[in-house]
Amino acid sequence: MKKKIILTLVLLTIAALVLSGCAAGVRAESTPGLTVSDDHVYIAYLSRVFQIDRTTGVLVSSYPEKPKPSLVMYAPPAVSDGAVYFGDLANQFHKVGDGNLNQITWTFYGAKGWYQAKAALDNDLVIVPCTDRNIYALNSSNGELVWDFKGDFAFIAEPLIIGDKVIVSSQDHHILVLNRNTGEELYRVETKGAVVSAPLYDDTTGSVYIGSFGKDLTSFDLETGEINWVFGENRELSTIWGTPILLGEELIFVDRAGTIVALNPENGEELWTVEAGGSVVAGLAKVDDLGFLVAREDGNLQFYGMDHTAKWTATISGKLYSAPIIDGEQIFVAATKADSILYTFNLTGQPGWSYTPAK
Amino acid sequence: MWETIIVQPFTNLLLLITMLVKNFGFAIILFTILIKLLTYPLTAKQMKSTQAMQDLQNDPSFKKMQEKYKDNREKMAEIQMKLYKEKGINPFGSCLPTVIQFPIIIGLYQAIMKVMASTPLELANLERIIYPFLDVNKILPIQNRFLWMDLGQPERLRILGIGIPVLAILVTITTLIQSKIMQPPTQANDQSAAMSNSMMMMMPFMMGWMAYQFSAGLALYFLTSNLTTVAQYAAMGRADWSKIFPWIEPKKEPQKNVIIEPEWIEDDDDEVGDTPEKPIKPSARAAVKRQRPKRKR
Repeated sequence: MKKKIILTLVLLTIAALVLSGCAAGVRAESTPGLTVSDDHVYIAYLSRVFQIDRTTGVLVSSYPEKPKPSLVMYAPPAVSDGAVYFGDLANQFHKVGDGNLNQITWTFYGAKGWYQAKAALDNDLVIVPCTDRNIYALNSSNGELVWDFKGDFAFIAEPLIIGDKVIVSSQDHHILVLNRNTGEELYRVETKGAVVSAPLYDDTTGSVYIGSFGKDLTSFDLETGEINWVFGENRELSTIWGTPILLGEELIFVDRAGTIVALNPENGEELWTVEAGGSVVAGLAKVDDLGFLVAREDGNLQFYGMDHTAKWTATISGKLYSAPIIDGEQIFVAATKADSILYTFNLTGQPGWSYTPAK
Repeated sequence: MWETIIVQPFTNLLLLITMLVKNFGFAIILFTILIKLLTYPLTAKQMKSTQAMQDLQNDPSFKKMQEKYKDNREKMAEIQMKLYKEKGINPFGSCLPTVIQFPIIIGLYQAIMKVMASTPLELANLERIIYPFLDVNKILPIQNRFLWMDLGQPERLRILGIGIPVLAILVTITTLIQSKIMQPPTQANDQSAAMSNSMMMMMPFMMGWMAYQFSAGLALYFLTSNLTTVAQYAAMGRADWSKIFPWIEPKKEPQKNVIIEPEWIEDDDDEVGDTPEKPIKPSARAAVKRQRPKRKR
């Protein structure tokens, strides 16, 4: 009898250890979260956030110092005034020092879901979207909750802070506009489908542009909340995943099927279209006065000039699900299922350094 | 291949049910029950096969035959095959339905995981496999809220500030009930019974731990699956509730017919003429192997 009990206990212990090893691992699959600052590149992927020298591609520091299987991070870190803000899949949101990622200033434990999207920063306020259907506004100096907004679905896109308003992409077929100081909903603009990308704000006209799963692109006036125009009603489009860009006098977006469309931002009139030749989830990235980049899902990176013709193509042996970041003369591309998690190119498509985390 | 044949149809079926009932929690329950019902003929066949095999192995004449030919494995195998053929027993009858059911169960699990997409990448992967006749825009996003649960997060019911893992507790209890009522009758001092009991004790805690750690949607699937299996077992009249509720009278085993006619074991004496008169005590390992109950599934 005693033998049986010991055997059962041993088996239970082994099972618990094995299962805790599995269960504490990745609970969701996502793409590396990428942010570029003046001197460094930050990339959150699986068990660590890496701080990399943007010139040499050498690792400067990481959080945590050694990988922890129980910790998973995908949300792109937000960087401001010598501090880095990021959330993880253990429902915690951290502020760490820019110089040393392991120097935790504070951690916010109030969420019941994990963090997928980048936080928006504005002086003393950090606006954090969370998959527990809440938008949390935290005091940037001590991490205390200032307000929270409860929605109906997980928030997975970066909010935009414009003056005293916060623009939030919501999966409930709406764009929400909240009061920056109180979190009170000022108004909401209906879209035809779920919105999973960050909105684009044009400060010259005061208009906001956003695409949705409803195969539509909506423009509305931020001040009044009135819809300027909706594109897509009489046009065969696919779902729209990425944030549009404003290049010169044109508003450009790409749909999932890879159709690149340019519109007149004032009235939504179609100007031209180009086929990227493959599925696009990541969206576009603009290169001021030169053109724009399209990151195709199959790892193909295409650069189009101002005349919307393809100038060069680079290929990464992986999948691209997040928009490239162009900063100065460098292009940064986060990849999944690739040899490295981060690739760099110059503006003519020549590859630079790439970063592969040490095992 | 696997995704196209199994996961994609299952995912689309689950999405279709979600669209119809407009609630992902109910959709998981209905979907699990539906798949369980579709695989019921396989489950029933497996149970019958296991029972027939068990009856044969418990038959005293069969044991006598095994004892007699224990040193002549070829002869024993030959007689066993003859017996299987004569009695219409397929020796793989109990494993084949399990083998067929296995990809279905894995597919069901993967479909639920896919539909619970919570990151842009998972959403992109989900959108890619949705059939054109289902309108993505009407389906996505899936409302994960069900009763007090967020099906995309580990479940806790908050009472006075304490998070109680109700689903994990229910999964543990139902797995225990399922294991108990499906446990085949064992003999005293049976070493395999000891192992089987250990497993029976361990499984519910393993399942409960998984339900505690993983998203509530998956725990809901575990719970529904357990309850459906118990219901199916009870419907076939094979559930022995006295193993759970001591006040219920134990189920009486039906009077077993003699399966093997003595002539099967009485002939061919010459071929095993070198069998010693005094039977050799079988090794513990051999005894365990013979007495080990067949797994139900």
